[in-house]
Amino acid sequence: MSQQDRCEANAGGRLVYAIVQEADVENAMRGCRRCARQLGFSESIVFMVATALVELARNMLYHAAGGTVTINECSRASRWGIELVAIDHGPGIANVALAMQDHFSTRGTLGIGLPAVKRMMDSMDIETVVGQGTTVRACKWL
Amino acid sequence: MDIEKVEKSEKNPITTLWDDILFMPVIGLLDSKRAQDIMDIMLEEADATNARYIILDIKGVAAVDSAVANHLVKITKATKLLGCETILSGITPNVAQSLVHLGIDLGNLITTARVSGALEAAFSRLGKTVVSVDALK
Repeated sequence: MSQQDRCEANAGGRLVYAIVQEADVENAMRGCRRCARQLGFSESIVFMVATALVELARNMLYHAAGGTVTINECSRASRWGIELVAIDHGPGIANVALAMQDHFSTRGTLGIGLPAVKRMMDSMDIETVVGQGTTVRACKWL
Repeated sequence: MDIEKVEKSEKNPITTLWDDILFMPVIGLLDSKRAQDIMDIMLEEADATNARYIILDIKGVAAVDSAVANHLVKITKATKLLGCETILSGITPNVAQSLVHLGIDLGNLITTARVSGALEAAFSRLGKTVVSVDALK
């Protein structure tokens, strides 16, 4: 079994990646690119969705010591798309509105990650409970 | 020789393209370790060769998220301190869109779509130009 096969559990168009170190981010990104291409997204959208996934995965590493990223095919009203779900059990986000502002960072980083993900994807929702964790869901439609 | 150092430069090749001009392509996904390696190699080579320009080609990067953009900005700032200016080439339409979504200000960094454009920019700043042989006849 290859390294990659161990990292991804595939169940009905679903890819699940545990993100515990930086190398896992690259694996998840490859899976994301493959999935987006198979769905028929253009190369520039594939690049953008992959970038959004990398952003979410790295966020989990920085703020929550890791988590899980799931890549789903999704459909709504006869439209197909790709959904990224990033789940961590970290400290949660105390002020989501603030976190969504450009250049706000609690860690001395650029503070542009989450707002950029929102701009790159068609929709993004954040569910967070302080002390319990954060779930970010982002979709891109074909 | 230091094995780690050799492996580092195998993964991240840098070469002299012309007098005073270095070239380094970046392929795949940048993480913080690799960005640090690239910065080390670029600074060492800039120092050793006394080059005036480094063309950093990012056409082959797999994603430009905020961490990658941050690394790129840091790398270019560091080389500039050594008197070696970085020209960022390989700005594909994909990379350009990501940078715009990120809202990254690349300041007065020279960016080009192709390596040839970057080389031309370096040449013109060094007072050099490429002339067609026919034009000299």
